[in-house]
Amino acid sequence: MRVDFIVQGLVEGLLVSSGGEAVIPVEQTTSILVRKVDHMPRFMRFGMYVLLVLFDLYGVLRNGRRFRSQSVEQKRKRIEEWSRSPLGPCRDMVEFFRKMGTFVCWSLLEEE
Amino acid sequence: MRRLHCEVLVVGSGPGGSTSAWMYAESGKDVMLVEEGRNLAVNSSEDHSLQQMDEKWRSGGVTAALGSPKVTYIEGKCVGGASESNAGLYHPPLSDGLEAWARDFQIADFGADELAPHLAAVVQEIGVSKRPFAYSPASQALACGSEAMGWKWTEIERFWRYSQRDDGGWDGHRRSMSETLIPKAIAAGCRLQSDTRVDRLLRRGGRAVGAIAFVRREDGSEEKIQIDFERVVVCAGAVQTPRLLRKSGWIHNIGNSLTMNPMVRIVARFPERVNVPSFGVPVVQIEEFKPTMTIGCSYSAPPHLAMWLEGAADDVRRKLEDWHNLAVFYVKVCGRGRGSVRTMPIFGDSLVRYKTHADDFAHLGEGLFRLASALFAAGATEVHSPLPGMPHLKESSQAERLRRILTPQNSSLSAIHLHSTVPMGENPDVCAADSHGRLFGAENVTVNDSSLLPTSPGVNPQGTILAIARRNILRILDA
Repeated sequence: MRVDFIVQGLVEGLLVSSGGEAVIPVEQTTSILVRKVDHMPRFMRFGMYVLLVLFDLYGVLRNGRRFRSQSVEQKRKRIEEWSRSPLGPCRDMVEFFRKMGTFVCWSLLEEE
Repeated sequence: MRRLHCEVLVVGSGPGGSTSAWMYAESGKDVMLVEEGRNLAVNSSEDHSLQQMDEKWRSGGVTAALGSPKVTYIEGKCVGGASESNAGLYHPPLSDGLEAWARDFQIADFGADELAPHLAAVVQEIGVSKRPFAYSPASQALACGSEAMGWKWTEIERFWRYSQRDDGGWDGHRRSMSETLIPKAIAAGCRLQSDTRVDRLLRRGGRAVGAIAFVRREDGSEEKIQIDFERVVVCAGAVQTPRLLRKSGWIHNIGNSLTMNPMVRIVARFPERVNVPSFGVPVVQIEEFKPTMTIGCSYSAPPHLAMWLEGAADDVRRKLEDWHNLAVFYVKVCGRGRGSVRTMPIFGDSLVRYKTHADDFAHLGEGLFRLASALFAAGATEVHSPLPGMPHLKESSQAERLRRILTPQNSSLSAIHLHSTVPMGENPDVCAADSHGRLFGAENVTVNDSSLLPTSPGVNPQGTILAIARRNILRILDA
């Protein structure tokens, strides 16, 4: 199952500034995050895939389009909603991509 | 299926496994040291980098104990185990804690006096030293803040060796297991088998007679092998050791009493430079509140700062413009919570669960308050909240807010020291191995790693693990 587009959407929503100038390595960050998910223990990987797919579909519920196809501004809103969810796994998913995505992104920027 | 033979099989090459392999090899036994991870040089990757996470940590560093909240933790997975990438901080065990273990778990011949010669021997063998030059500015800030508050602080020694260059600068070298005890074990005849995962032990009655293992080939495929032995020493860490034992049919008091030291981190900003790369983690800790809580400095390279600062790229970039003035600090508590280790049905992974105790949240909050107070006393101009979206603190009087900031719902906890999944002692109600790590119900199985520590030691545990490992093997050899 491909989750790259959903993860890329999360990277854009979490790390790309609105109207900002900073150029961040979205594709490289996405690719490393997908690799991180694939290296997780199997049950965590399975859970993460399920959450990513549900998150993608949650976009349809909210405004008729899957998360991956929404604008960056809409993506930010969806992420914000999940980060405040009463459900722990939803918050944990956002926190994972927020923290690990930031670490990966700035590691790549430092390498440059 | 290929079959290998040895007298003593040691599973896992971290501090406990390396000590065991070295001592058995020196005694003339035919020893095989098996490690699931790769055999890499200690400096094969930069400390705390993405590459190091991928190379030397299990699951690329993404492992978590489930619970409310979940607690992320890391496990070393390479020859030398966690000693290849940890801070290498050496703290002698607290004598009160050792006495409590001996009393509560009925550990025979155990206490500060009994452990002292073993500590001295491992310190001598591996090498422990203080910095021979000035503390890093982050350490100085923490020491200064601690003094201003009237609290004791100390420099923690490290398993580290420093040498001065001709130009007057200093080089530092981590004294990891791959640099110290493993070469000694190999020189004494021990065979090192890396990239090999022991799946289960084969039992015949009350004895273990062999191990089924999988050797990872270069193309990614695996070869199944059997290793026959006279005795096995399991040292795969507080998660993998109980998993292996339970999978092999030993379950009594195994994997039921996981302890850890939950921690939280915050970033502080100073008007002057405090963040100067200087051989990894700054070495000063506030001593005043040990063993309940430890307050110290953390690794503070820009990617780590960014992770704790959080925010979109422009926001983080703005905050990082003066990254030399920022440093990460932590509060770590001696956890009162308990957890378990099981094997996840169907998936086969380790399932780690942990219930953080209410006292731990209170101690973490109190620790954050104390840390922020000390940092402001040292001249910090801003302390970032540990929770996303919360306002940052600008002055000491606001530190009070941190006291009750953490809840099970909002906390982001991590841990680096896990213990107590195969507690040792003669108390049959709670212990899984005897006073010297010999597994109950098994004639020739010994456990010799952090799993044996009955509870969290409250200080950096590597010295304690090494000393106990040496003590146990000497006792078994004497017997």
